[in-house]
Amino acid sequence: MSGLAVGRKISTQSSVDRKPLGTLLLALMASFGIALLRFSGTSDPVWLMIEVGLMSLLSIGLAFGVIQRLVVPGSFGAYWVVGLGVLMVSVPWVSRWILIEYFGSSGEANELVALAMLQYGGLLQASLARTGRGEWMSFLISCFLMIFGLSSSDRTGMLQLIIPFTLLASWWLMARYWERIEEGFLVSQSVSVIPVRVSVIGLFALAIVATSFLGWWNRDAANRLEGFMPTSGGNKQAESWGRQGVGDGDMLIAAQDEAYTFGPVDSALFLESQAPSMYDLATDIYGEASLKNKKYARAISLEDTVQEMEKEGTESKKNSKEFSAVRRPKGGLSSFKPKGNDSRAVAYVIGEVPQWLRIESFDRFEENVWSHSFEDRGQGSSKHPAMVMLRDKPWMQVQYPARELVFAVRERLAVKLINLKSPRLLTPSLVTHVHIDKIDQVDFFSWMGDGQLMMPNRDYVPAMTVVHQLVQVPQLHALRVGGTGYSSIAHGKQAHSGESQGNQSQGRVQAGGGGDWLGRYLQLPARGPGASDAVAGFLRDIQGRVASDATDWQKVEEIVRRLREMECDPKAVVEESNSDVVDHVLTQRRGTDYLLASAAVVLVRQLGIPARLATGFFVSPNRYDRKSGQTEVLPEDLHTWGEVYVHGMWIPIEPTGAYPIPREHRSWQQYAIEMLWACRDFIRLHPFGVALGVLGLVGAIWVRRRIATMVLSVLCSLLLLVPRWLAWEEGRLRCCLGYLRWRMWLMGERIDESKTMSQWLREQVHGVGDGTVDAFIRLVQRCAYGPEGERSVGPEGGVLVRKVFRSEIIVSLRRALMP
Amino acid sequence: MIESHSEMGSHSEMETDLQESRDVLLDESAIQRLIGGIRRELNRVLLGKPQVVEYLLASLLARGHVLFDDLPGLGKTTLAKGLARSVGGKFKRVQCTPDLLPSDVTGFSILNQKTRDFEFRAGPIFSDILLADEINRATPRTQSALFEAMAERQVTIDGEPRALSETFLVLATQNPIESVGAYPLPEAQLDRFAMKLRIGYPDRASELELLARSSSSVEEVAAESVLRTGELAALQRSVSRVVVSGSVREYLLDLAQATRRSPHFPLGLSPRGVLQWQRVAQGYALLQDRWFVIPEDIQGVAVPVLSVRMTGISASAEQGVASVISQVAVPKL
Repeated sequence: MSGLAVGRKISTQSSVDRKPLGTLLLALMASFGIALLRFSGTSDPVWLMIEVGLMSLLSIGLAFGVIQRLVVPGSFGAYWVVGLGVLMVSVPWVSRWILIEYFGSSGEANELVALAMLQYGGLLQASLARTGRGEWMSFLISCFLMIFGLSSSDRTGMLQLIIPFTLLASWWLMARYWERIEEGFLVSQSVSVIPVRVSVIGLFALAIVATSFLGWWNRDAANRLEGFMPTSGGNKQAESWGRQGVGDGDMLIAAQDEAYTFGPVDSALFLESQAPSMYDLATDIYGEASLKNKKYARAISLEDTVQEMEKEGTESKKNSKEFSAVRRPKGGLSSFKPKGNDSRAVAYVIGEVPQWLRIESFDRFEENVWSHSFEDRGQGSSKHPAMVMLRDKPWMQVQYPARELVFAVRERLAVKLINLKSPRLLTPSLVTHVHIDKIDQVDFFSWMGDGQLMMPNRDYVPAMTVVHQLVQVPQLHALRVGGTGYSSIAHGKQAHSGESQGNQSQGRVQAGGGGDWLGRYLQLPARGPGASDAVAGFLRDIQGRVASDATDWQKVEEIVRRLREMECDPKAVVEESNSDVVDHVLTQRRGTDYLLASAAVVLVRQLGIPARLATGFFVSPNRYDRKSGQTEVLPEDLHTWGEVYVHGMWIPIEPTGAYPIPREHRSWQQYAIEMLWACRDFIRLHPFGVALGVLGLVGAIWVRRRIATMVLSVLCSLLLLVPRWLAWEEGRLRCCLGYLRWRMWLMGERIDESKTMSQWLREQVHGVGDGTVDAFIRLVQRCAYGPEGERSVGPEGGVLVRKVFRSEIIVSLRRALMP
Repeated sequence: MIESHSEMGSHSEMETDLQESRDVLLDESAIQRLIGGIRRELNRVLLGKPQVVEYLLASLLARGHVLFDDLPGLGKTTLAKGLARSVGGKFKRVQCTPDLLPSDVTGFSILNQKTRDFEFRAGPIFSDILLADEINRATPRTQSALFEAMAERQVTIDGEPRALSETFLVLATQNPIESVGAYPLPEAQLDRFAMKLRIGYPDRASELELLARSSSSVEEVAAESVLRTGELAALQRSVSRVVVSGSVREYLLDLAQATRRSPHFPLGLSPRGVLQWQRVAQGYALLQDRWFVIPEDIQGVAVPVLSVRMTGISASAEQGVASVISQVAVPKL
């Protein structure tokens, strides 16, 4: 058993009973891949598991001739093979019928049944292939199934399967090639096998470990492959988004036949909606805003109900929307309790996660309350987004980011609103295009005063609306390089080229707000009487930490980094009496996400860099549902963070350590350099740990043979535990001999196949006396070459085998442990 | 030229012996006792060469003819005589010279003047053990007659086939150094021998003992008869009961194929050679009281068996055999 036979053994005598093990192994792997695919689509995973397991066993039995031996030879001729084949191939269909008929289950989809039939056909072909052509057929089927499975499955397990499969398949091809060459010789005896070397096994193990690690690492990532298989459904074949369930929403909003005029949808579903407003959500999640210092009765967050507020006599329009940083947390959600089976979700998101979906931003910070300092609505028709046609669909272009600061490839994101009453659209900061099905008029979009995209003339965006968005990923490297036009982002110093190019829409929106609209985002709260100079101290500290030639953005990043080190605790609210929450956060070094975000914005503004507070939802990768490919956004995902104005666009910053840092595109060189620095930092932080680890690794490589021998010995010692009454003495003898051979191999000794068993046993068995060795050798010889009837080990032989086996394990363990 | 040690006379008498010998059945302990007896006697005759004795015994059990290829005076004839004595069969000896005629070996019909009839005079070939000394000195014609008898175990004289003894065994010797006036045996004929043995010089202790023995007595040490009538044939038949398992058989064939590819062997092993090799290995296993053949048996008799098939200098026989053995994987459990 020195190798894994992949090709066939060419031999003039034994070509009849060769077993295509490599081909069978490939077919089994392919079958397993398809099974993984079917697991995603089946309603009865246990049934499927049993079915696949039985089929695999059957094919293995066929390949090894076990099944053939069970059948009385000659009684059916070759017909029973044909019958069995038909049976095997029809199993998926039959099992689906049984599932539907007797178990009331939905069974598998039609295309999956067809695929499964091919899966079992491939297994059958592999197990019965005895000619070169048959093996080729089986090989091709296996490859097809594997590629199909890989392209359609969303399971990371496929990744772990495909790499060994590829290695094996290329080996198989190589073996075939050598066979073709060797068939040219008259008398040739070749055994094309994979040599079981440490390197080969190590490579396999490494590949499997690496892919497992990747799978584990990416388990929450939403970067699924777009497939049409298990989640297939719907009839809009052309639109991949339609197949993931989002299409229904698209259709729903266009309830009228020609929905180009997008009127209000008179649906009971919407009228009776209990969807919470943003204000309710903030109250529920963050707690009630403290009203102590307020001159007005109630702070309304997002609702576009300005008129109403004025009637109630609130102080002024500009204070009508607020976000208080002083809140009393309360338990549970009260305003929104869905009835029955209603989803709790605020929205569903398809696309790359994590995402920071902004719904509102604030520029003014006074008396611990964030508010808008400008008109609620953007004015005039000139501010409408521009319409462009992308892939024959009307898209509204809403932003023109500076080309140098974003990655050119846009990502697509779809947000389906479920339970949120707001005219504002949920968008990430760097959204460039927006598309809603059946809407081709720019009038349907407008801007809120804070720059948030909205749907004017309606109370709120209807539920089930799907908003498709194109999003760009910031590429911030230029901001970190000194001496370029991007090194400075402080107000008044930002390069005008970037602004004129990049801020067309934003600039137009803000035009009504005054000439220097950015100045609003620099405004700092008046310092209260009790305020310490914590902010100044913090900034001095930052200045000390960054290099003297650091760019503005690097300072911002340092601020964020320091704030992220602080403790994030939803209960760490500020007392109502406290006049300056930022001060409080910086001295206490803990706070909620909105407190930390407030601190971050104030600190960034201190540097002269425009910044604002953003509220919205954090789309967490933890909520990603592989099956539907969607990510749920729940009310608890309400989140507050900061945004920094950089050359015509708002870049999100995340000062709360419990949340990830927003994504940024890096070229691989930047990534490599960053990794190097990260490694250096890690080594500096844990010098002893790293040294120990490296030493341990080097040591492990140094004594790898000993370790391997030890592992083998410990594993084999389990074989000694097999009880005698199982009468497994022959197996134990074989294992003992195999153990001796593997030990030789592990210790780097050359295994000389031309040595007789007595020769190498005499060399290898050290733990027992010469008499025992002789007896053992006689036993082995009798079992190997003796007359058929006398080949059993017998009770005395069993004792002998156990004795030798035990002593050899002890000897090797002792040798592996001794220096 | 031809001498006979046997007291047994006519042809018909021998045939009754054969009939009797078929009835002799030996159990395993008896076999080992008999083998041990012969071994003891031979080792007494030939001092310090137990391995040669083992080979000779294996060949004897396997009914394989043996060619001694060695210098004169090393005990070839002594060994052959000792073997003949200890197995108790009829021993005859032919001293081969260029003027030896085939009929001198096989026998001839002569006109009996009294009876006016042709009367067959059996040659030395009608014996149990025939020692053909210096066989390479006989003419090819005589050699050929002898070899035919060795292969067929029968001779045809005057158109009448005459069977030889069931236990008929030829021990031939040849002298490798004197090549003048010699007719080297052709490869095809060498193939009829199962083994080629070299005795070699004895070690010092054995030679001392030899000297001591001959100084005290003028009489040559003679082996004593161990076997009774028919027991040799029974012993030879019992070799067939030694099991050769499939894997060992394949190993034997692998070795044979390796000799056909090996540069050490100008002529690969013939199927007849393979058959003899298996038979000798069976005998060799029986010598060790083992009733199945292990690869060690095959390897153990490889040198004498394969030496027959190797032309050129015999010094490289061990090397050639070792290289062949090292090329072939031994079957494992």
